[in-house]
Amino acid sequence: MDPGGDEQLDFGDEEYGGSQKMQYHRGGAIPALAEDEMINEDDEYDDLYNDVNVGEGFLQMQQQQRSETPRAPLGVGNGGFPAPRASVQDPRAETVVTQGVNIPRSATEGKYTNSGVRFPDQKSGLASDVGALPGTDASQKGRAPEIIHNSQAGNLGYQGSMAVAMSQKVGVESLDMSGKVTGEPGPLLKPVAGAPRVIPQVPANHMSSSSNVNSIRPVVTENQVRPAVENGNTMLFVGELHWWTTDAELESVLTQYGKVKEIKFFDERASGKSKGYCQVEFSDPAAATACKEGMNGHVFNGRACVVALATPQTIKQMAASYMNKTQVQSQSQSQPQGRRPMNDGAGRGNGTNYPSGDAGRNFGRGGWAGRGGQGMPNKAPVGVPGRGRGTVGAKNMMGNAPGGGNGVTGGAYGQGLAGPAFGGPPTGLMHPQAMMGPGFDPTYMGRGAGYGGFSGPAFPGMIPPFPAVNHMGLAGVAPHVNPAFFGRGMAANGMGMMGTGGMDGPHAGMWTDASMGWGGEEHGRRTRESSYGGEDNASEYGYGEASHDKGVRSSAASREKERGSERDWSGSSDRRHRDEREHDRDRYDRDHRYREEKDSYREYRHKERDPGYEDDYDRGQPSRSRSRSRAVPEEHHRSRSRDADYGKRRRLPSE
Amino acid sequence: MVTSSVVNTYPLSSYTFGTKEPKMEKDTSVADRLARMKVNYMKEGMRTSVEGILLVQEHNHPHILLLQIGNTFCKLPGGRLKPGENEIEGLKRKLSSKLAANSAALQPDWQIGECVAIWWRPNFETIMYPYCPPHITKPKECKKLFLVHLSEREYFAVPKNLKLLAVPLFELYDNVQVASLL
Repeated sequence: MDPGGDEQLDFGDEEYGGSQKMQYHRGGAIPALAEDEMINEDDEYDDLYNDVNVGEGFLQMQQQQRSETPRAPLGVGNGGFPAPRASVQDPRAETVVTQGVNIPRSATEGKYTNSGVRFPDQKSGLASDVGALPGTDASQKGRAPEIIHNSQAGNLGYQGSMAVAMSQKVGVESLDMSGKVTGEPGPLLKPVAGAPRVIPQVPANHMSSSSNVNSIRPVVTENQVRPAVENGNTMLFVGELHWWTTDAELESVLTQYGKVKEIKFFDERASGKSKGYCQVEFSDPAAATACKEGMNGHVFNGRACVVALATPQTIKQMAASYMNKTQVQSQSQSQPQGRRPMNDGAGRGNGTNYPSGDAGRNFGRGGWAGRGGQGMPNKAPVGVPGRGRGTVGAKNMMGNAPGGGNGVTGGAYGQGLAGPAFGGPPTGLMHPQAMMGPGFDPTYMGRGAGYGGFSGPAFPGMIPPFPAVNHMGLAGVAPHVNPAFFGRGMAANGMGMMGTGGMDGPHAGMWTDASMGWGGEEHGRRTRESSYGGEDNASEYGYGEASHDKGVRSSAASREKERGSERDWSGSSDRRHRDEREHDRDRYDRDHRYREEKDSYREYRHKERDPGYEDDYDRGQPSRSRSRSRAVPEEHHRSRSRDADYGKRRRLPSE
Repeated sequence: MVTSSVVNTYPLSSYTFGTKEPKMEKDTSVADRLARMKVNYMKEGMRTSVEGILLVQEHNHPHILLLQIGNTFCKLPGGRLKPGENEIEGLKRKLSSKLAANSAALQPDWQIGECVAIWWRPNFETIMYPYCPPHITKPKECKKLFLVHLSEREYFAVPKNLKLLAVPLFELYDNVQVASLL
């Protein structure tokens, strides 16, 4: 939970910092904090100490503060605080620090007391301590800042999200207290000693590592009951429950902390079974925070629950945790298909998103929906061997898998995985023949396998993948294609040149790029720059949208460098140039396409298109008309060439 | 309530179908429906609803009478019970409301058979399950389906805004769309 906690902290910190920092840093705005202006200046340094682990230094800081308190407790606190803050925050990275910083700045001891008070609320164990605190408030005021640090840190330690709440609370309270505190700089540091007794309880409840926190917590008692103003968060997530833990059981415990507005369980839609986590809404934010502190770890049916403030991160964590559990179970049951070890991949990525993310990749082409669940374990292996490859492989799978998948259900996975291997040796999982049918030339496949494969031995029921995607996936394997196949001289005509035929145009560009130093590369680059406009060139390919996307993408990719050469583009209208540009574009496209899917292609295209044209306009009048007029004939070209390409492509596979 | 487990079914032709004034849905949208459900839950607690399965025989295959709203949505005749109302009585009331002619003379004598299915709604959502999930102690709705023994001759008056369909069982089998509304 720490990483998650960190996230939460950061998240909270942003909120908190955003608002409260504003208040405090611009201390001048708040009269009570006028004296904090000096401190505010120090605020800038606070972040520097975020990662400082003061440890023993904390006490030193406190002593320093003590000595300096007469001057300006807050000021001292600032100076001193960064260090202790850092230590306190150890358990919880920056957010703690930030909050600590805010506290001294904005709030005087009073503020701290509030935070300190909060602790007791949240932790039943602390309650007694809190009671003791009020008595020493005055003396503790001096301490308050530190304590608040601790308390906050402790809070942070407990739950990242809590930190946010805490900090905000403190901030608010500090404002209130600042007036009161001014008179008591002296005792600042004294109460520290008393704090430790409270601290132990806190850590017990949470894995708070804030040993430093021990020092201060109990101090602030007055503002204890102040309502949580921090972010008004009344929602909590309670997770790690058994699926048979009922809402009634939960409610009976929840009502101890306050009025419950709603309990909503997360269930599996298909069966209604509980996923083991639920969303609880309290009527009152203070109750929510109290519950978070108090109920975390409560044992329901023999299992300790986890309570977290409701943030997008926490719900994701809960879902991820659930997915990990279920996937591990389901994977152990489902046919391993030799991918068992890879099942870890399920949990590897974002737990929640694993199915969806991977599925998204695979499903980009459609037709995989049914396989998504099982496909994931299989995919994991693919991804592992090499990211670039893996993703490409995924795309290949998309293109090829549907075909293969249609024929075979379980076997489809193997085929799908084989996809990436087409181009070359990549993962060794491949059985290209399995995919494309016996006798299929792997190199050929690598080149335009997706394409050729489909047009050739079309898999029954195969869903024609988005051409652009196909190419991309294939392009990924390009490097393994025998460069000799293409020959030099892109200018000669990328399409015709490639033995495989038309479709290779884009691929050719990529392959050449990938592999052997084509003389044409540089040339291509130049031309490509000139063909920044994109769409026109794309049309040459005959891939229609696909090519457009590619062209656009490459344009986007190299837009920065190509800006200067746009003028060239407007000037060049040779088909030859265009071809070259296309090749270059493909190269760029390949780099950027791996992870793009259909929709993203379109987005690129739209994005690119407009700026491209605008640039033309800006660059020069003549280009505008030219570009426009060019666009029209281009389209015709495109359709024509596309047909031709298709014809070529189809022929090749069957040969 | 008919206790016999044998249901006699008759061909559709043995029944007469007329029309009557439209019976509009109380809710204009799913969201409205759920909101109203929530309100009622607060007032009355768990909703119990009943629906009747009316069978006819056509082509040597049982068909179920469903009311079609609009062009897509089908449902069984039935509805929500008033608080404390007996299930059988409530179902008779609902069947008459939906399918019986308005005139008192032509009120069919509904023979309600056994309960064949119970569906539970765990949350204020559209989904229902044939069981109450174990972690739910307060389902929001419980729907009971009863077989209705039709006599050989009946006169049904269908509201003008609804269509009465006789849906063969094979259409319902493994049909996710239909299953969801049951």
